[in-house]
Amino acid sequence: MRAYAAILLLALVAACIPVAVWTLAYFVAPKFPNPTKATNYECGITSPGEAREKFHVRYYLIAVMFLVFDVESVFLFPFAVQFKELALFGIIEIGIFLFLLLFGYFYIWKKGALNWE
Amino acid sequence: MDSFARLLHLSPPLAWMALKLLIVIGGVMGIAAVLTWVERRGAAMMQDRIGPNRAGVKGITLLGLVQLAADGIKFFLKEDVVPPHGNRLLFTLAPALAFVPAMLGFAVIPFGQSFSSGGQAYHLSLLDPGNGMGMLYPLAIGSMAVYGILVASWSSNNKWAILGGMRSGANMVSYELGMSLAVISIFMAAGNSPVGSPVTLEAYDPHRIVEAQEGLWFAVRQPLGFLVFFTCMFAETNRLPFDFAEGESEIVAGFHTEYSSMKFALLQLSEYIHIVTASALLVTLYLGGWRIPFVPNPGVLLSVAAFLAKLLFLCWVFVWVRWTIPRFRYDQLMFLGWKVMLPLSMANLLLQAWLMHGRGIA
Amino acid sequence: MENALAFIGRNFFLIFGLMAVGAAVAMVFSKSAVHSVLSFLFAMLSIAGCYLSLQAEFVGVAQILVYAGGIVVLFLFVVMLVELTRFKEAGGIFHVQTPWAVVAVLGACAVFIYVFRGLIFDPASKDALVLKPELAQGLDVASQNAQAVSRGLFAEYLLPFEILSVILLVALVAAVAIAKQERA
Repeated sequence: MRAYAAILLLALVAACIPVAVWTLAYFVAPKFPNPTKATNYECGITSPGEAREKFHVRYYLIAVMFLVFDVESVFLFPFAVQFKELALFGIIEIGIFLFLLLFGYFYIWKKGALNWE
Repeated sequence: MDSFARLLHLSPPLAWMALKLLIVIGGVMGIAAVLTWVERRGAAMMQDRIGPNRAGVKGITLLGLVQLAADGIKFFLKEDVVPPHGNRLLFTLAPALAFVPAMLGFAVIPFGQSFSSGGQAYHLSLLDPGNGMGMLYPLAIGSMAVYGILVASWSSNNKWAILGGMRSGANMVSYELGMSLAVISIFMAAGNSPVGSPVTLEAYDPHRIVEAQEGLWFAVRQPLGFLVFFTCMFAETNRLPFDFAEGESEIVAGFHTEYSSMKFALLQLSEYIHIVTASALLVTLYLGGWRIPFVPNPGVLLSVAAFLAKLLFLCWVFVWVRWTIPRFRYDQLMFLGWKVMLPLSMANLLLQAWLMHGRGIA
Repeated sequence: MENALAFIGRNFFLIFGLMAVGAAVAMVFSKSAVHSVLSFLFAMLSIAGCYLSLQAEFVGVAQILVYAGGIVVLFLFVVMLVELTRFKEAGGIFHVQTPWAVVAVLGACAVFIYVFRGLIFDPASKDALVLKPELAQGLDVASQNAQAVSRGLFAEYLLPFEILSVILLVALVAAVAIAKQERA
């Protein structure tokens, strides 16, 4: 471990702040429980049905597309730091890599997966 | 300066680290707290109102700054309602899940020029340069920000909350791509500039990125990348025009509809901390970090002041934009993220690679 | 105090490893799907901590970016998407899955033992872990590990790298095809 003690300390302090705040609020805050207060907020009407509804599949699609391009960008990081040494050869390599992904990108564009209907 | 140096020699490295830790935590949380006041006063100014000006101690209101203390006390003294129909454990945990990554993000940002005292180099960033993570670290931590919102929304078991959480989850994820592709072109440019410091630094080390902006800021060299990154930062922090986590005109208060008391305050505070971190990232990557134009070696105090000035200005821009530009529609947001920002950042990457190759660098 | 700190500093890999195993166990045994996903997130972050303690910062950060920041988000979306309350009575799928899961784990163990057979059966030959020392020539790997990765990726393992983009393409097309089918 190099200089990570700093990050660990920061994480520790950052985790302690919410805990301290919860504890303090627990002792200071008033408590008047009330069945009406505990009901779900829905603009005043009684909530019809479950809140955890089935979500549209497009959210899943967004997450998968994000994952693919995220992996792509992670592979671009080593290319960027070694850009000078890789020279033209590296640009061609990354060009092929990007071309294939751009092909996929235009495919999903044409398929309308990027439209939010 | 001399007494300052002597003070540093007295301290073991651990004390120096603790000092930096104090500066980072205090600075970030302090700016974030003041930012809530700036937001309210700024909004009032733009809407031709007065804004908070009544809270005060014996008539001293400090332009309404005392309101901050009043708000803080009030948050503690409010009842903490935990919805029994949700998930109590996750409902309590979610503010911490939002708060901790927000605090961690600042750790690698250099907020002033490095200096040496008594043969030892002191770097003004919590993590010293050469740590191997560099600017990738705030990106990685930034991608954790989505969990606070998703968990908060799911555990509330409220329709508005879940809608807001899902929307902002998809939103943050979409704009992360444009952001990381824009940053990659910065790494390429930074790796090609000569390094002044003796340490062999990775091209993505923030100290090297600041070093590389000695001549021209990256905002000037890569205006397209700057534009993309700047826009993506608004989506990542869930600020207007992209604040679909809240969207009060459609889904009440979004993911924190059921939150009250200090838990709400923590969620709110982490949003403002995200703004501070996003501004710091923008300053470091595109606006020259602590550098002042035409001053090659500003020294410790001036460089910290320059960094702070840029940071505060960008924080103000976040507030300014919020009260100037109306909210997008959700399909427009997806259009902008996937069909504008992603191709633009990719074009920026290829353009920069081609330009650098043309200049004979690669 | 100093001794305790030094002890912790030496054993970060162990600490993070135990945290990862604990989180993985919690993931398997927790009743709620969202709790499982969050335990998985914690396990992924602990594994990133393991990489950091081995001074492989680039791999560690990539682990956070891809697994903790991408795959877990996908899982969380899916858990929210399929509304698991309706699947409670349909526990039958696990009877199909369990034998296959055991087979998959045994297969993974076999591959692991095969790859690291030199290290396991003959611990004296420690260089079994150093795959290509010539790749790191002239680099201070400890502080330039992204460059070391890049040398391997763009020279030695170029073909797998390009094939990877085809795999990503397949994932993209498949996801769109499935989603479109469901919509029709």
